[in-house]
Amino acid sequence: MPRLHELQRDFARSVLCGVNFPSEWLRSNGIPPAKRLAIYRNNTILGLTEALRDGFPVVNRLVGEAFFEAMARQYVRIHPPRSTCLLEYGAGFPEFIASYLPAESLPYLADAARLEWLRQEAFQESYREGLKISTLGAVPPQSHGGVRLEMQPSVRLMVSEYPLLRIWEANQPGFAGDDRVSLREGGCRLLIVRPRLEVEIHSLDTGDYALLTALAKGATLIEAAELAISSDDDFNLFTSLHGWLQCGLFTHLSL
Amino acid sequence: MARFISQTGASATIPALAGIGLRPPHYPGLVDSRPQVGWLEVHSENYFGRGGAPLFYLEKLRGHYPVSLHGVGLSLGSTDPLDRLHLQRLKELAARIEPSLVSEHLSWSSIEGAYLNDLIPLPYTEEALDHLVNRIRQTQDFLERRILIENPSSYVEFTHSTLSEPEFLVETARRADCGILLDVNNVYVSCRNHGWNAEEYLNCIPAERVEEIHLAGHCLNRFEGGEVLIDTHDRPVCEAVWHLYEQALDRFGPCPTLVEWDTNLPSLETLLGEARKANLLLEAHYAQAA
Repeated sequence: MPRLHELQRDFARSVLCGVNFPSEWLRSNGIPPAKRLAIYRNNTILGLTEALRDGFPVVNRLVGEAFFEAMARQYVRIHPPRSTCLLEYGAGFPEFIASYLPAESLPYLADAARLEWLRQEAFQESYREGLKISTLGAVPPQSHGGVRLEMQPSVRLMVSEYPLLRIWEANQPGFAGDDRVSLREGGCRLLIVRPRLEVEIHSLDTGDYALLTALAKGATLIEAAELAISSDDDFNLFTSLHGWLQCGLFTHLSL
Repeated sequence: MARFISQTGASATIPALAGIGLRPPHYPGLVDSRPQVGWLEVHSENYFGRGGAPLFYLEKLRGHYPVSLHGVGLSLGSTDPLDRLHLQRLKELAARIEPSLVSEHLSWSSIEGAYLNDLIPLPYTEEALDHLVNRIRQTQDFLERRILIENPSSYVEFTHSTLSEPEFLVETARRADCGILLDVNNVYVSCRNHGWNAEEYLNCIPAERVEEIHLAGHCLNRFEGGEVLIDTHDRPVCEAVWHLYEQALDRFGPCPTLVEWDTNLPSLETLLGEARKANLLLEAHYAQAA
């Protein structure tokens, strides 16, 4: 007779890895114990596969349902959720895809998954009121350089070698434009943020990307601006800051 | 954190009427038309985020309907340590939403840190009973409130069980001093799957413990040599379960009743239609009682 822990451990191994579960621990009642266990295996593997499909709809579209299912099932077996909150399941899926050999011919697939994961993170972050332009205006000009700006908790930044935003857009339901994307279009830098309810994706130029990345790491305005200017000669700090303040991207200012 | 305070129109207790499960595709319809329905129930874990649309709509709707928080992930029967982070998040959500009821399952879902995303039955032994009672007590102490515990639907029975499921359920509730959420569909599904008698199952449950009832749809899977009912929540409640529900009302009296529908989600109108069916039966029992 198994102790409770032993029973649960063996049951989980049977569900996730197909390891044999002692059939004498189960009543058959007309149906072989293995078939009864298969119901649980199916519920777990299918349920988690569908949770991944919900979270990664563009990846699903790019590879097709059958390919996605095979890839997701393998991920689920190797990396079952460590949290009981499924909103958090899939953080490791992009890295898994990057090393998943059958997907080798789609080099941008892991980046598409990274973008979808960052959208999921942004979706459930908290929201704060945006900083008013006048708040920055009230800081004496000689102190502007030392200002640190906090951004919306949902802000995520990413770089891709591929035209990821175009790939993402062309794979949205109802997209009616030209869905042929050439990888020669080149890479992109993206800002993912959720002002209030809908997650937005913004394409950034090199200057804005350098500025926001530095600010996100806690750099002062002057440090961030120097990085932005060194990466982009045409970077205009005033225009950039004004635009992001109007979007409500910054939430807090400290000196 | 902004605490919800303006409970215009939403009472603090769940009425003995039919409620529906709140699911994202129905958010706008519910907010716009505010249909007549007794109360709403959500899966707690879907609102564990720090913000965004789910919490926005839930807080908005909480202003108009009583809400019940129904957990699917606490894994009360697991031999892993009780998940303190999960409990903390549940407590924060409860502080924010002020639910009328909080419920969880008589089952386990995770072991050695891996979450199986399913409600797996326990062996009905003294060892499991002690363990579960202890965990429910810890949960109630942490949340500083009583919870309800729901009977699972199941496809396996463990050979070393020494108690029947209703005995185990009642003894758990008595010793942990928690309420019972009786899922009538689960009673039906498990009784059919294991050859138990549904009426005897209901007769084992003391009426004063039952504080909520669940109804849902299930499907039939045929295997060589037999068949198994699977608790899918993907279709209307079947006639046999409505019939068992009437028997449950006879025994337990009018009780808040939730129509669960989680996959293959119908239109809000169809879901409300199922709730109206439950309400008609509840009203008939009020009339009998009067």
